[in-house]
This record gives sequence, structure tokens and C-alpha cells, in this order.
Amino acid sequence: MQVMSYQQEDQQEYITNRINKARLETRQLYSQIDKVKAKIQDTTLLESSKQIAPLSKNAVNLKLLQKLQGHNNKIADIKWAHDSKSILSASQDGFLLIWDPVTGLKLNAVPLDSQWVLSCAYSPNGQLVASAGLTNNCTIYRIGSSVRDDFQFQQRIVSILKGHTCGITACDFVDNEEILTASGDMTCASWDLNKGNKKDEYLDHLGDVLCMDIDRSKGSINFVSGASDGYARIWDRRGASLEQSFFVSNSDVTSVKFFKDGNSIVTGSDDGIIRLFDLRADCELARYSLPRAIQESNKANQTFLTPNTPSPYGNYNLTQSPYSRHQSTASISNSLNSAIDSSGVTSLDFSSSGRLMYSCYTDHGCMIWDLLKAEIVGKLEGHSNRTSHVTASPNGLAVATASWDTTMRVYTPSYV
Amino acid sequence: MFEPTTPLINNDSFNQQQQNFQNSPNKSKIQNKLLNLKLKRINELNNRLKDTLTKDRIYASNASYSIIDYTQSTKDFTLPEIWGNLQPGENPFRNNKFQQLKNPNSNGGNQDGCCTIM
Repeated sequence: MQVMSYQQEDQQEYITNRINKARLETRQLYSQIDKVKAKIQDTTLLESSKQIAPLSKNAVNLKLLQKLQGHNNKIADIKWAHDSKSILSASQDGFLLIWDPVTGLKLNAVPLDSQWVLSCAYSPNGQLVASAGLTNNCTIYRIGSSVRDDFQFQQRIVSILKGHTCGITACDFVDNEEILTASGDMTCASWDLNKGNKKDEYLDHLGDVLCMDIDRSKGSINFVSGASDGYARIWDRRGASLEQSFFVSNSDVTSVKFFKDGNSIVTGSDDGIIRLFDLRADCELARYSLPRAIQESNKANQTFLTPNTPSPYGNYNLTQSPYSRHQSTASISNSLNSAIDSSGVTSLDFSSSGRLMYSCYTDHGCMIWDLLKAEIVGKLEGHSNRTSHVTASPNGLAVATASWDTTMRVYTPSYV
Repeated sequence: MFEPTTPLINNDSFNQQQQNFQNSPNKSKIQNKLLNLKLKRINELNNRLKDTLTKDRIYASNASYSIIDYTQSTKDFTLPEIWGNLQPGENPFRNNKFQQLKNPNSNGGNQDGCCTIM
């Protein structure tokens, strides 16, 4: 070979030259990509939706249906059954509970092998549930249709999936035979439940993978993961390959969610900003920032978000539901923005049309955004501690929130 | 050159090792290997960038319009000013016999379907 014929020193020089050339090419490619992207990004969602009428003040019809009480520690995760008839919750009290959201009664309980659970999942046929957490394992349990059925099971555990070298932060069933996990060891993995072993591994993140969402739109084979390296990555499940990457921010990406049609994603990060990326346009379309929304609503003088009585402490009292329509307790001071800036996004979901986006903030509960107008149009209130999760039912008629105050709340449209 | 007055333990042997390494013909070989690895990685990155460059993209405006279209064409009963209210009985979550028995005045009652309790 040609390279081998060089003396060692010459060879070094030769390689260094090639490296320099390659680096130059990289730089050129980056600038070309920037150019292409700038050309593509001709507008934002906010601008294109100017023709659409904004929602009125009391537009959102979601009334409390049930308060689900029964856990005695923080609730780590909740998932709807695929038929929208029950809710699975995982709590750090060491139990998975299954609830009937209509009656508020518990349907089933699964004691966990480890109480340090971070995520749970409900299989499409409703016969399997999964829990995963700090033990680095994902455990699959079989459940019967009622507690009485469950006395027949001597052993509920179907399999314990081992292989991650760090805690599992998210898991979800692809179908009844496959589950996906995301882990702090910087990888995602898919597992074959029939064989009980790892099927594919998804490597490319350079930080803990903190969240994951599977595209449930028809025929899709994608899922998205968000990590502490500030990237959201789209993966192809069939080829186990990286499809697309979006740089989100310099902070942790703590929640990701596919838009209903599977063509876009929203990301929530620790900087408190929600971003909407489109996969086909390969760029950011919109940005949702809590402090900005509050400032703008002040300018427009919407009483909805504007507190009108100054607080004697000059502080914005964030614990007393500052966004409720009836109660305005504090004034906006400079400390407001810094307080809100520090609030990360913990969970995201959409209403059935996608017009409404539910978003949980670490300190401000669950806000409802108008996706097209980037305005806050409501709030799901009631929890006395951090609202950790929000999730809409697959049939689109209910929303459930879970909180560190050990309860869950289910909201649904009321008649008239 | 600065020299520590009290040499560290095993400093001599460490120096010796380093000297051996520096004199050994392996050193440049290893360096070459590292450089080759570096080159390989940059080329991989370049290939990936080329892939992203050749990817088909649609304009952001079209992407926005398709999102708007989706929100306008999918029924959503959380927004009654656009989609109207559910008729009594249409919301499975509000058809709760249990609740109705406990509190007959609560909303969500199935008005026409009056049940008789034996």
C-alpha cells in the first residue's frame, strides 16, 4: 500500500495533512448546512397562524373528574391504558397501581421489587405492565383483569431485563412483544419480550438519556429521545439507526413528545423553554417561554395572567396559583423572571387536535398553551406539590396529572 | 529545569519507563494509529454531514401550515368554541353510574336514561 511505503515520520505528516483537509471540509459542510437551513426556515408557526383567531379566555373545557388518592409517596410516572379505560401509576412507595378514572377506584396493585422506580409502561393489550428505575433493570409484570384473577398468579414477574449500566429514566411498550428503554448510561435499548433479551441498542447521545417518546401515528417506526447533552434525537426503530438530531439547548432535555401527526416534536428543557421542531423541515418552528408569555399578556393587559393587587413583599407569590382567574395575589417584580427562568419543563402532552399543549413546570404546575399562538390559555390546578406528569388519554377526552403530593387528578370536558 | 528536592516514590522507575517509551520505535507507531483514528472519526462526521445536506427538506412555512391544518381538522372537545360541546352521554368519562348514585345532582348525568334502583 502507498501509505505503508512512507517512513514513519512522513506517514505522520501525510495523515496530519489529511486530517487538516478533512477538518476544512467539515467546516465547509457546516456552513453549507447553515445556508440550506436558513433558506428553509422562511417563517415561524406563530407568523403562519396569524389568520387564526386566538382562543378566548375561558376556551378550555376541562373540569376535574376524579382525584385519585392511594399512593403514599411521590408519583414517579403515569400512563394511560391504550383503550383509555384505566390509568397506571408508579410511585416511590413501591407499588404500581391501576385505576379506573371514572369511578376513582383502584383496579389492581403490583408490589415492586424496588421502590426506586422512575418510569412505568402499559402494554397495548393491557396484560403486561413494566417498571424501571434506579436498579438499572426493567421489570415486566403480568396482570389479570381483576385482583381476583391475580390470586391465580404465583409469580407476576414475566421477565427482568438487565443490561443497562445506569438507571432507566423512561420505558414504553412498542407493542406486546417489544419494549423500549432509555437510560442514564447514554443509550436507549429495545428488548424482545419473548426472548427476554436486548434486541437493539441506540448509541449516539453524549449524556444521560432523560426522556423518550414513541411516535404512535400510523405506520411510524420512529421514536425520539432527549438527553443531558442538550440534543433530541430521532431514531429509526427498524434499522436501529439515528435519523435526525436537533440541538435543543445547553441544558438538559427533560421531556420530549411527538406531535399528533408524527411530523414534529416538542422538547422541554431545564431552561424552561419548550421548542417545537419539525422533522420534515429539519428546523425549529416555534418557541414557548413562560416569562415571555407573562410579559406579553401584561402588555396586552389580559386580566387572565395579570395580577393586579401588589403584594406587600414585592415578590411574585408563585405558590398561590398566580395564573388563576379569580385570584391575583402578587405583583410582578424583577425577581419574577429569574424565578420563572429557573423552572424546568418536566412533562408535555397534547390535546386530541394538538391545538392545546399541556406542560408541567417544576415550580408552576401544569400550564395549557395554545400551540399556534404561543399563549397560555389555562392551567390545571389543584396539586399541593410539584406536578410531575401530565398525560392525555388516547381517546383525547381526558387529561391526567400526577404529583409529588401523592395524588393524581383526572380532568375531562363537562357538558355545556 | 525545575527539579523537586525530594523525588517522589518510584519517580526514577517512572522516568525510566517514560524514557523507554520515548525511545522505543513503538511510539511513533502508536501516534500514527491515534492520528488514523482521528482522521477516521472526522471522515465519519463528514459523511454524516453530507447525508444531512442531501436530505430532502420542506419549507418551514409548509410545515407550519400542515400543523395548523391538523389542529383545524381534528375534533377536540376540550375546545368547545371550535368544536362544540359533547352531548350528554357522549363522554364515557362522565357516564358514571357510581357517582350518580352517590350524588344525583352532579353534572354528567345521563338525563334521559333514568334508572330504577331495585
